Amino acid sequence: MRLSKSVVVIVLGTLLLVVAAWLSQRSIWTKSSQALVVYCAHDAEYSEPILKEFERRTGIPMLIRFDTEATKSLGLINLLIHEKSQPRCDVFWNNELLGMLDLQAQEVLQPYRGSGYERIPDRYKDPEGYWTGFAARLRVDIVNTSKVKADPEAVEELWKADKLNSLAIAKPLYGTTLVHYAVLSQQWGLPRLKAWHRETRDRGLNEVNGNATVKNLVAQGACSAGWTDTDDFFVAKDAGLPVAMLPVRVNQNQTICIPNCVALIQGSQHTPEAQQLIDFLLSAETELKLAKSSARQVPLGKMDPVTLPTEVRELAAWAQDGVDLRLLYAARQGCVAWLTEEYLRYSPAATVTPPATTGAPSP
Amino acid sequence: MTFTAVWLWTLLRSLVLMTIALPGSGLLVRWLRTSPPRWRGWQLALLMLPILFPLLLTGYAYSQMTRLLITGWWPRELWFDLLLLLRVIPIGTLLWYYSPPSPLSREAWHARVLALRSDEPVWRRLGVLCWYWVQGPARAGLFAASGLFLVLFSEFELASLLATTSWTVWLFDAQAGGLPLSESLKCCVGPACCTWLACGTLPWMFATQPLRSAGHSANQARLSMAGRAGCWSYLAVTWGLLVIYPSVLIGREALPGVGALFSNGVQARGLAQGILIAAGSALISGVAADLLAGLLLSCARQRPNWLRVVILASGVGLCGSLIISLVVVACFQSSWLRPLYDTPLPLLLGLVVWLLPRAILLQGMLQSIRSPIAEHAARLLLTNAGPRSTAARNILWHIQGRPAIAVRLLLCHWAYWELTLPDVLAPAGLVAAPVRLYIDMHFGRNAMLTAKAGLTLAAPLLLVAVCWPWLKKSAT
Repeated sequence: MRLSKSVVVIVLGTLLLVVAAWLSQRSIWTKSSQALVVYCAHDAEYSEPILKEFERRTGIPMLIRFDTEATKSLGLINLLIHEKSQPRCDVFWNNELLGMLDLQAQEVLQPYRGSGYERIPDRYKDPEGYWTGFAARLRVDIVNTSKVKADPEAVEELWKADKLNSLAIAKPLYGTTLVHYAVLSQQWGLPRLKAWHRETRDRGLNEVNGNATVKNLVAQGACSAGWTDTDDFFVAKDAGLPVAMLPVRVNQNQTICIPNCVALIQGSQHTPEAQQLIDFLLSAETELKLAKSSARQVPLGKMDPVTLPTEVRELAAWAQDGVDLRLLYAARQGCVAWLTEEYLRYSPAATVTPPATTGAPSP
Repeated sequence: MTFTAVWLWTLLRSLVLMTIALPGSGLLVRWLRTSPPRWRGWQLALLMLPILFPLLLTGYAYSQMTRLLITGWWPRELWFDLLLLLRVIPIGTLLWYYSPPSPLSREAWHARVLALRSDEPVWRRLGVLCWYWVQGPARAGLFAASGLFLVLFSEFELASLLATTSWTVWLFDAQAGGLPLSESLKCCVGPACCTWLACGTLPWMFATQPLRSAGHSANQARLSMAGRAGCWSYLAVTWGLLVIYPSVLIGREALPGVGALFSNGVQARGLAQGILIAAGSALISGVAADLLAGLLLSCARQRPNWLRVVILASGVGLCGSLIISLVVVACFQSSWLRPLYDTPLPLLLGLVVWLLPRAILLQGMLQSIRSPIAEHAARLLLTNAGPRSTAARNILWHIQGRPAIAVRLLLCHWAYWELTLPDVLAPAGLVAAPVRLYIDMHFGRNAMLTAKAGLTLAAPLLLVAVCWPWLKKSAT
């Protein structure tokens, strides 16, 4: 008796679920089927209000899928590649640029050059319009001011010390630290980067899960300095912790300015609405909002500097010296292949790069 | 490290921790069984609550101990081992405490030892003793050991947040880095075999137990003063490290966090939706898994051939949430299931598959402590009108309704706090509350996180409190 009751409940429950799922696909839930699907790798705290504002103004319903910070944008990039034959995403808002080059190479994106595209400088957009950058952040050295003076020489000294255990960086397999590595690889060459990587680990450089952890380590005084992004730095600064920042400068005094990027997905079912969203994201209004947010992102399009917060004006000046990230695709692919081998299939017996003990450059 | 090295390390760690945890669980079982019955409910509650405190929050609290993260691999590993050990000991205790009684009594075991013939070879005598030992005195301990191993070997959240070595974290990182599904599945063969080997006996025990049982030994000696002090010390340390410290750390910015959350309408609405999504999917999948487990166990008892189905169904769920997610995604991306891909169905299916072995375990435990005679007597009483009927309802609630609801709530609790399955399988636009929390944890925004964590924790408790009278009524 008990058995047959359970069977009935299970069968009815399953039927109910299948019917619900089928209804959702048959456009009975019109809102869902008309919705613009957005994959967003940018922090939900900043991106969600902007996307909701677009939804409110245009009446276009939107379904957003956020990336978890643990997997960085690579999670969504892989998903987009995985779904290429039958895409469900219309617009991809990425929080860095090199992943877009990968998607472009995999033919996941389609070009769009609208009003927003026109206002962004050439170095931050694809010439054919496959992706467009906006609202950037910079790689910075975060420094604990109660432990070390916030000037480039003092940080340089920390990197030259025999032991690097007062410094921290994020694992370079993902995110903006991967971009940082790609820049170094482009400028130094991969063999030199590998040698530097090995040598700094041997000297005790702390490697942690993400830029937010680097920020925590430095802000709480467990480390003196480390690499992070400007948005993470401002979280610590706004909390009143003793931190300062210096732009990370690579060869020829260049900075690393990493824009958000937006792209239209090949095979999108809602192209006009997707184009509307892309123009909205690339507008001066959105860039200004992101500049005034607690992330203090740097506007890339033309904008009256008076409207910007003072800190963002300083960042905008640093961003002028930024490396051209469009040229880094090959370097990024090389880094990804090497780092995947290094971190996920690392075998001590197969190690071929001998650790360099002297003369390694500081970043 | 290669994947093989990582999973072998996880295996070694799980075996070592299981060996350490088992005597602790045994001690706590004796403590429970020899305590006055009126205290037992409180003792069980004290043991249960640290297990129910979300591991995501515990892991986050310790990931904020920044010095721990940079003290090197060994201190981090040892700290992780300590936390994990404290957390799993109550699981072993509960499994042992509620394990089906052995088919061999202590007296029968003793008689078998006496009956050994001295002229037989030693190896043969040892073999016979081992066989009877496994069937008799060691049965409940082995059952607890299987459960302990399962939890230790499949741990993900704490290992991820404390950046320790674990096959689950390695696979998650590799998958995020673009490892093809076929490669991921190949990687899983070794860990899955280990899990199946360790836990394959559990469904068999539950499916066959009611047919032959010798009952629990009733006359156990009361625990010594030192033993009782050890149990209370263990509880104090566990509560301190797994519940109080994380609660204080997360709760200290509660007020400004709640203010910030409610002043940000988008975030507040997103969290409310996330809680609804997590609670809805947890409710559906928890109840479905429970019903399915009851059905499978009943079938296995009536027709022994069904035992294979029970073991197979549990085996799939034992592969871990990441593997289940990947397989479900692959299935729903095939051409004939593709229309259902962007619906809640993959998430619900993944949750049911993941919960099923736990549900089988809990259902088995529930059925092992049931008393059909008492239930029958209570039902007979129920046919009378007046105060006897009320008394019968109360009895039925205590012996049948309350345990059944506890099992379902536990399953729903696990589904509610699951992270990987909703992250990978939920359709676009459906972000479950724990996934939102996880995003915030990695960005390290404490004030907002505090408020979100508190509300995510409180919402289901509030829901259960509101629905409790209705649940009680429907269960009797």
